[in-house]
Amino acid sequence: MITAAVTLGRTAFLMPAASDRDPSPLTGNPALSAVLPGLMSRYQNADAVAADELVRRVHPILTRYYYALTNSPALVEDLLQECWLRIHRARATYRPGEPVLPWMFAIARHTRVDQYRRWRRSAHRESSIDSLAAHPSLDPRPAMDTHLQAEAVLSALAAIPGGQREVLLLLKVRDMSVEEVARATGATAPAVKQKAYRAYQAIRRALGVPSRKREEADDLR
Amino acid sequence: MTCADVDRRLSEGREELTNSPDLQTHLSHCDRCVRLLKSAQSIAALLQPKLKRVRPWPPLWASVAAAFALAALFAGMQILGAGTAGWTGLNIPQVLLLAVWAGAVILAAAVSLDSALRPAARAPVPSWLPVLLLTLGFPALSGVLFPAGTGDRFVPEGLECLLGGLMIAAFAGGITYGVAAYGYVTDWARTGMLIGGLGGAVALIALQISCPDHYFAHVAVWHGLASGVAVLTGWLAGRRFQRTG
Repeated sequence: MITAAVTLGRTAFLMPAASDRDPSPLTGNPALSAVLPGLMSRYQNADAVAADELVRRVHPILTRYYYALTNSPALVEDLLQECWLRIHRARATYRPGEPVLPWMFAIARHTRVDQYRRWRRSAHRESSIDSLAAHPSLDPRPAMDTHLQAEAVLSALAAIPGGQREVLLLLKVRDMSVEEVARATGATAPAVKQKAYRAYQAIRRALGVPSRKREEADDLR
Repeated sequence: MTCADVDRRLSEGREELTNSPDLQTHLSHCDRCVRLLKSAQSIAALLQPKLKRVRPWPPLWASVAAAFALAALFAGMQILGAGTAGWTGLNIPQVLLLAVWAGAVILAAAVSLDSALRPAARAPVPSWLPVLLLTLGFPALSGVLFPAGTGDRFVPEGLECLLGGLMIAAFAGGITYGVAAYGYVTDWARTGMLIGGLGGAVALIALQISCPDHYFAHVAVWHGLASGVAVLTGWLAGRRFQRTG
């Protein structure tokens, strides 16, 4: 059951309550984080099996990340392809032993920023926000138990500034640490905490939930 | 089986997934997961022909050593081309303080640049530190080390130093940019500023070795201007590059 809209604590944002929580790709996976550096090193050594496995393991994570940011299936496809090509070109910049996911998310984020810049430069201003309802099969919401306040949470999430939304997604949906999010977004840890705090406040206001400053402060420690 | 289960099993790398009857049942009515699997397969197929062994990014000490080697290279070329009139005219405390300052700037620029060229790299040194040491630290140090006054030919000699310094900064910056092309830059304005900063620092070192004019005004204005222009040019070029892609 989702308690997200009611309790915006660490374990309960768009995720099942801790008691009935099943490890899912939405949450952080320590086993995955442990296996990725080895795969990445083999990928740098042109190991085809490792490359295949790396794509298979990380692709769903990047897909969800882009869906959460863009809501456009066509755009997500383009971004994923571009992102993987960039990851491939930049694979030499991965230093063995360092965490892989922040490295990949930094490239994914940069791909998205570049895409946005290109879009702004382009003369035609076509609408890039396809309705999710037009693609019900690609809608990630059914996987999140959309009953009750999930719609309201998603609306509130869509209404907050992009930078805050991204920080919140990486912290709460990917379950990355403040330090990892700071590395992935090129910001300082205090800036990440501040964005997350503002995002909590904005979502609380939108949902009419009273503020719980102490809990949020604990959450960001 | 739900879409979340499919995603989780993919991320966990479960080998039995592809032959699982559960999965086949799920795929028969889930376009989203069919599309996800096809997308992952096409990406993997796209990357396979491009696989080529690459050397992982060198450790930090190698980046620092490369920056010092660059400074030593240009210092050596300056000694061969313009002599050591500046260096020999300095007393020991001046040489020591300038060496410490130069070492600190090169070290800070190298460490900062190393993190600027890799996505999500930890930045042990903020990128403003080498720039601050260069643009404010050097004039301040000059005020302590050199006597006040302007010398006889303040402008002509100064322009000579400025042009020479800018040429050295441009060459050093060009070499650094060539190395930067192997990295993955997410912030070109910051990276450009650091490349300009490193080039400017190398130019300052070279000028201090060969320039015999040791008046504060000359050193702070003309030598400082050469490094300042290098930083500014790098930053502006980086910003432009970022905007135009």
